[in-house]
Amino acid sequence: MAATAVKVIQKDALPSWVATLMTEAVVIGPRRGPYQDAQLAPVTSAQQVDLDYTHDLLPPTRYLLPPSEVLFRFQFQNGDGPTLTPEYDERRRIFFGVRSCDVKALRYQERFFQRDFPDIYVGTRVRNAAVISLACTAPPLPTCFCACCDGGPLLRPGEGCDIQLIPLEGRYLVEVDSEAGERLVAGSPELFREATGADLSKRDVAFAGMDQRFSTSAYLARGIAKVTNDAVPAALWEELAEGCIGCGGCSYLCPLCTCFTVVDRTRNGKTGERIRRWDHCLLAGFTREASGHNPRAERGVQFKRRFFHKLSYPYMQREGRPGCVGCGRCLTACMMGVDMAAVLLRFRELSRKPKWGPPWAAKPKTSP
Amino acid sequence: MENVYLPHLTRIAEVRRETVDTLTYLLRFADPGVARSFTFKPGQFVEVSVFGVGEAPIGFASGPSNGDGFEITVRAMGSVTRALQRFQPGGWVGIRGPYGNSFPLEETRGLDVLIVGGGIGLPPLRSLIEAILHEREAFGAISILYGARTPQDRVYKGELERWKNRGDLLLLETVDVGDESWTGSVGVVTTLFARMSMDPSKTVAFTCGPPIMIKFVIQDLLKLGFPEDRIVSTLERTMKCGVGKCGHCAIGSKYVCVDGPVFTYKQLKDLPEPP
Repeated sequence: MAATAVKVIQKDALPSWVATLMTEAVVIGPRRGPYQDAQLAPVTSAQQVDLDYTHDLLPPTRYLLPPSEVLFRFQFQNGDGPTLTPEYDERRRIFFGVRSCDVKALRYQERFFQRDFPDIYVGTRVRNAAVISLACTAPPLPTCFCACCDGGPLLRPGEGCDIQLIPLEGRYLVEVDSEAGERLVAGSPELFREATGADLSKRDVAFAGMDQRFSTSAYLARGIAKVTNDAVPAALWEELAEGCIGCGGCSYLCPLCTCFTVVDRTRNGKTGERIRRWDHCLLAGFTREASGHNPRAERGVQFKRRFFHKLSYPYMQREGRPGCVGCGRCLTACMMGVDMAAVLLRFRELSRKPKWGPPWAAKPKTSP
Repeated sequence: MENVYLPHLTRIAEVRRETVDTLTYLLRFADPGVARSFTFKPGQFVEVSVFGVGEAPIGFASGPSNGDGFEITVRAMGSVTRALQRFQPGGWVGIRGPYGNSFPLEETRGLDVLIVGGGIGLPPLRSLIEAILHEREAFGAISILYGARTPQDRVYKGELERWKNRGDLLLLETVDVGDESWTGSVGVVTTLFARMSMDPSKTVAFTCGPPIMIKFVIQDLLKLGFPEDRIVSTLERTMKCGVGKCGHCAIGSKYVCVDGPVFTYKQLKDLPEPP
């Protein structure tokens, strides 16, 4: 659906709009945490919303697939079969001021969980969610590389938000991209005016030269080719994986990671609950079987697995896009420097290394 | 929207001991509506719930046309399968499924069938055998080769006897290590190939068992001249959801729970990781 309307809201009118939105839904917006870091969290007062934030370290996809959730409770009563009671989260949510990369991630998760065997837990949350995104006119952080990954910095019509906000001086351009978006604007007509030609030309100025402002480059296409063709030597996987301590920071912060485990909890066997929790492929026991056999026991193949999922062409076909939106969270999380951008850089060096020639020619360059 | 994570309740109707650590359970759905609409194919599996302990993926062990519930054969291995050992008739078990693809039964019609099972790998093949025997005339010659570690590790002892005496199929058995009561063959299951004749150009081979056995069976079948897409096997992986979401059973971009568990050797060969 093409943007149906472009409006303008003054910056100082945002709290009034947020206040209206709060009357109909839980607003998940950027607000300052105790250490002044911005977190996308439920807003309790409209004044808390601060769109001058950089990036939330925790991805908003955690509101679709929470770190831990009860799938159902079971209860045995006097010899009968157990009663199973599922729990669905039907709260209406409006994601407010979510970055473009995170909108792509929300839609990735929606698609992943809704296809083939639809997941009712995620599906219920998706059905009750609206997304108001915030375009980036400058990379919010030096770790950002969305431009390499079809993650941002700007969403085009139909790319997954209901409304896109574009920051201009003292005001925001409001691109309405769905009927749900229209309703969210229609609730506060006095706060919006139609965009003028001057506003729209400011929009173009804001994004001019945007691609040059990124300080991190990720050579995604080369990574996709290398991983798809299995052209990364096992020795390089092992070397990269040696740096990985298996903490899971990259996966827990990755807005496209969807893996989970399921556990039962009970005190007496009579009542209890089945819970699903985030899990990830770099944990040692991810593929360990009941017999103790582990088909992917070595760190090198675990590491390769993670990047195959993110970058291989078969997965692009399956999920409709590469498995990275360039949000840069794994660059922040990885204390060992084997994050997505670093690994892709090594693949790039690999491509440049001549196969034949004098030894000095084989020395990898340290910068792109 | 249906909740794919919510099990249907079944009640254990019968428990039969197969070996010291392996039991066969006949399960019947508590809800007659579910019982009527539940259908499956050999090679598919269910997620079995022991409430309070968890879930485990288990293949169907009975033929799809029995109608009156279905059987699973379970060896005590992990927390769920150990907990199942204590269950008696009347016990409540949760079932999700059926999941996964199935053995290519249609494509096998009119051809000879070779079935090679090892140890606890026989149960899913038994589902296939029952389906084939249900319409025996649709298939050519049937050979079943079964190997177990010791005579005590053989499952379906009564059934093996019945198959042996049917007269319309060949059953050969072997054990890795015999004992004083064992008068049959001793040796790995692949040694049985020398004791039978087959025409690889019109036979489909199905094999299920421990990974190391499958590896050697496939090697020998290739040597005998079986085409890669007529060697059918199954893969096992730890899995949580059974519906392609949890990520545990992924091999390359294939999910054992959705794209498998049945694969031809041609497919196995092309997986980007060793299965």
